[in-house]
Amino acid sequence: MLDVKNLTKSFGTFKALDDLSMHISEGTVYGLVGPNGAGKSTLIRCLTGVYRPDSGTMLMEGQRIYENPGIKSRIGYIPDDIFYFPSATMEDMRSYYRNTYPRFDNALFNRLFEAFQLPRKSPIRRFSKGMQKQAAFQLAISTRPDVLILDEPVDGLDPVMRRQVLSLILSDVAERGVSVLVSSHNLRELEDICDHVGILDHGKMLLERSLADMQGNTVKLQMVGTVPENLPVLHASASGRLNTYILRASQEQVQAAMAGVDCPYYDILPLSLEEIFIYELGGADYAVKDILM
Amino acid sequence: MRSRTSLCNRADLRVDFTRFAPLWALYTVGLAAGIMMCLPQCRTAYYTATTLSDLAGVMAPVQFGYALVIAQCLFGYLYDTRLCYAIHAMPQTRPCRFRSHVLAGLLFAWIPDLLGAGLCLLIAPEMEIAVAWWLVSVCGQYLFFYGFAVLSVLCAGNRVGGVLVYGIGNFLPLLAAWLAGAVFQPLLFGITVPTEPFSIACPLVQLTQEDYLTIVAPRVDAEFNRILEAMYPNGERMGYLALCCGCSLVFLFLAGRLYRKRNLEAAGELLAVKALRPLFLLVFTLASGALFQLFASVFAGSTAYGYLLAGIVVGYFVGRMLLARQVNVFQLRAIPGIAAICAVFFALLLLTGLDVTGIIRSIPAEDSIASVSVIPYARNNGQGVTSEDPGDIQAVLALHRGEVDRWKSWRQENRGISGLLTETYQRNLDSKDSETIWLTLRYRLKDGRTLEREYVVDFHSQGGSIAEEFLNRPENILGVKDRSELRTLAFQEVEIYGNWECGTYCTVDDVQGLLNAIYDDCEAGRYRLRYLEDLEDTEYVSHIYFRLDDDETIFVYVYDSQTATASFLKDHVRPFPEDRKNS
Repeated sequence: MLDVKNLTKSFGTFKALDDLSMHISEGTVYGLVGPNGAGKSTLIRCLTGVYRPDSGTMLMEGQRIYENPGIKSRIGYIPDDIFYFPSATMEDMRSYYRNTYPRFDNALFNRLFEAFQLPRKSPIRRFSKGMQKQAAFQLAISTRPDVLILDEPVDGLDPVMRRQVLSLILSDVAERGVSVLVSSHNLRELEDICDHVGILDHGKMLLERSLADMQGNTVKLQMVGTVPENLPVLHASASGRLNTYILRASQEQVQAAMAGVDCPYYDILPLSLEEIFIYELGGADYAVKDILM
Repeated sequence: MRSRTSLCNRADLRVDFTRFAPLWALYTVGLAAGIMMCLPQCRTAYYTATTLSDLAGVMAPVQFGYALVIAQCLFGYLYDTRLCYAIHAMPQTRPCRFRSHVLAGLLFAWIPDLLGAGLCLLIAPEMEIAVAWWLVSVCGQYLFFYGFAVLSVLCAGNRVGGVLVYGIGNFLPLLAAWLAGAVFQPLLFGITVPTEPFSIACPLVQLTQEDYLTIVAPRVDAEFNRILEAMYPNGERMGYLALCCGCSLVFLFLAGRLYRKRNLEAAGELLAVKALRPLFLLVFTLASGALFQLFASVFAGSTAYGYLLAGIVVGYFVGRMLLARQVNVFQLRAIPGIAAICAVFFALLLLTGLDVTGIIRSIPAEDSIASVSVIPYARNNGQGVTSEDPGDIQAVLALHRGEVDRWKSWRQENRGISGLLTETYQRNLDSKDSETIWLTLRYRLKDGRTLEREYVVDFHSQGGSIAEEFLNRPENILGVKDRSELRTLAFQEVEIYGNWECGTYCTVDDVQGLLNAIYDDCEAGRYRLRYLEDLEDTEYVSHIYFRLDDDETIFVYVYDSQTATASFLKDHVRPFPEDRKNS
């Protein structure tokens, strides 16, 4: 669906995206994660046709995205920092979107008023942050996009609304095969909805894999004793006699390696996405540091 | 309408018209109010036509400001990263969006102008031609200012930058004129830097003129109202306007190209186009220097070059602050830039003052001259004399050489910077008005060129004697070379002022007799300019205004040494008729 190859974008001497490649398949939820300043927002702005890349290609179904209104009309985008026309109401924005997006679904827009309960005639700038985000969702989803790009989608929403929004996204994926790219620092929630993950760091794609693959290929081993040498260790820590190792290996590989080790106690545990993120980036010199106050 | 790659987008047009409704509504109301204040009071077609022509000139500064405000509003989203990114994520090409905003901006003025024209026709239905030309004038003005405003806004990355680019671009010719006049002119002895080219290069000055219509109304009715006989667009003014409109189309084309290429991340910078930054810094620096010196001359009465230098330094660092958007620009790496600008600029001044090109000292060869003219600066000193006579040519060359020699010897006596920089001004300041006269010497050369020099000539010098002989000729005083030409002069009125028995405001019936008397005095060498009143023991008698049919005036001072004129006036002067005093 969305293909990015060797994308590079610089701002002056600073290279925000460095020869980046990624792929988002149809009907998948792709989680884009990375530390602050990794280039997530820059990548998203390139994918939505805001920035012109310095080199590389961005294609959606084989067609370029930049300055292509036909393709851009099939991309729904909700930025982290939403902006509306001053004093515009929901009705004003509906009118604008209806005249801008050819597939705008007026009936869906009306149905979503029941879900989100937003005022129709009040200026959107008077809404709370969460309500503004809901308004952005309502407008974006009503355009019936084939690709939905979300930057911090549930930031500012209450728990009930979070669940509602995520449910809407997933039902759209299931019903219409919408592809979703979600950028978020809330890895716990991302873990619930994503089936693919890309970890970005310093403008490069560090790791891009399905979530199942990622969780299946990185495990936590807690044991009394020393880890076998043939297992690749991402991180090691100790608490008394209990050693904890983060290993880039599958559960089966670890079990096979431990079979020949005389160890009084060991346990193999799955990692959460947050733990994978921390330990993968720790390998890329971005670890939790002890700071002396 | 669904979004397509089309000429413009209706959704954008609708948003523009609704978002900025207060602006164009205010403009419409203001225009209507202005028309209602001026037109209904016009008693006749003549006054309506002149009012419409004047109104077109008055509209120019209004359009100048309005165009910038509209351009900043319509394209201001480019200055805010949030709005910029949100809008450019929408399914629309940049050229389509650009065209939509340009069209909206033009309609913001043209629709109210059209309504204004309709209002004019309601008030004066018989003046459809004048109203049509008024509409063409104001629409053309706005097209020019809006095109330049859009280009300025797109060169900039924030509102301050947009205003600076627009302001500097429009006022640059005037600043250049000031620099030329206040900075370089004092160094150019005898040479006057022409200001007309700078004025012509400034559309704001030209379009503010009120002569959009040429109105022919030579006669008046019984109530002294002018009767409109003919009216047509002023070709020069309309031609200039057409040229401005052409330039505006070029500006809009360039602006469209800039928009296509624009890096949106430039939002917030002073200038979005990096290549313009050095040019902006240079122009801003020089403009600051010029403004400093302007303020010094207005408020402190001083044109010292120190103010120019101070302004250049301040302008350079302020310009760097604006570009860098920070205060900390006082770094070592800034020194070469300001040093280079000062060095080049002051080197130019030095080279000008030293007359490296020899232009100050150059005097044309006698055999290259076709004719010479000696023209006093003030109209009340006469109309000037032109001659092809070889003796006159030699006399003017002698006058010219004398002035150049005086300049050289003054420079020899006053060496150093003060002699270089203040010579011309100082000499003129030291001169007493009554002993000097400001003259233009004009050479028409055989190769078709014209050469001019201006000098303040001292009457005590040999040049002064030569000048006096020329200026006392009938050609200078009355504008005629031969007595027989006196009959060709056609007058509206002859006004004679003085302490006469019949009053202080008088006239004569025998105008030709008066002219002949003045001619007699000139021929006999008895005519003198008023400046010699202090040098010779003469008494003032009168001053006379001859108002010609073409609205020109001949002005003559009369002293008792001009015996023929004084005697004629004594015998023939009578009170000015009451019924003609107010016309």
